[in-house]
Amino acid sequence: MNTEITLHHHNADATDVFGFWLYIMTDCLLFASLFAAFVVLHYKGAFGPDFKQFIDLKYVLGETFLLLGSNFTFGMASIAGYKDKRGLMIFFLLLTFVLGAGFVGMEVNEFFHLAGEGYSWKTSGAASAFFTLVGTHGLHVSFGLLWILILMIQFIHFGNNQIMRRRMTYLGMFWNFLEIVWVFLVSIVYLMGAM
Amino acid sequence: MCQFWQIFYSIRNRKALSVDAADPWDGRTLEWATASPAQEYNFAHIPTVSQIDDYWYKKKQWLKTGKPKPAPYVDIHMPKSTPVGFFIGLFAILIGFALTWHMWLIAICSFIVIITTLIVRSYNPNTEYYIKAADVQATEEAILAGER
Repeated sequence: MNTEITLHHHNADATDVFGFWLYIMTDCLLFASLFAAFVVLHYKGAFGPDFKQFIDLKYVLGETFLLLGSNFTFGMASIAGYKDKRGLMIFFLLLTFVLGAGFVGMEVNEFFHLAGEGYSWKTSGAASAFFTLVGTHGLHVSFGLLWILILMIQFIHFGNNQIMRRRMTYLGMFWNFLEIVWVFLVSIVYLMGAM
Repeated sequence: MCQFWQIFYSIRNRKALSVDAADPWDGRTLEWATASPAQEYNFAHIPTVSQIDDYWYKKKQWLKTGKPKPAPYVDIHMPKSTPVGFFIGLFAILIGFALTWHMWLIAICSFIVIITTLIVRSYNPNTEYYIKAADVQATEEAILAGER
């Protein structure tokens, strides 16, 4: 009846997950500003070589499938977690890690390839914006990979308790968020750049 | 200069100048509704704010109705004190400095320290505790007794 009494006792999980939502929102702001910088710096009259000639859409499609696949396997890991099948969950987490690592590997390879062809972050303002935007996303995915690795080890140590389930929720939010950012990246940077 | 004198004077005469009551100036706003210095849980009951200068509004109401008896105290859920934030902040400064001046070794070491701190922290499941309702009641009654 009196809400102010129950607030302290409120299930801490809901508050904590809300805190992680706040973090995701600040990350949204970060990516929004990077996207804005990219769009502004990437108009046709800008100095430097045109990005269009460097785009390999098939390669980007490969990256996209790796990241989408890792999202799918992460979903499977979550389901296995809800059903308390620890072995299955760790297997799917491992699969997620492998796919994510494949994505990061492809992206690093792409960066080296671009730099080798004379399109490095020092080339032009547009190139700087491109490498900052895509690189920041790649860095996020790399941290996500580290997180998955640690979470797998902790699942083996601690088992499937409430704290671990909460961490799995956070990681799921983070990983899905990166997937959504990648969708925007593909549409704005690569698809619109190729047109 | 005056600023330093003021700080020095305040620290030297802090015993004589200190005010014990929670609300010595009959304040209007919420920060006067708790003790000074505040208890570690800040408020025994999280206040519900319905007006600008809500504490003043409540005081005016209390003039008519009398101050209500506090609701029953409950255990308060608290995070434990931890030095993790301090370490991360310290090494974040170091990492910023090192990156600015291209000192890669320091930057990498600070980065590893930060990540390791986080991982070590995540291995500690006991990061929260409860303040017992009886302790809350004792603290609150002590504050009320000191109030003028």
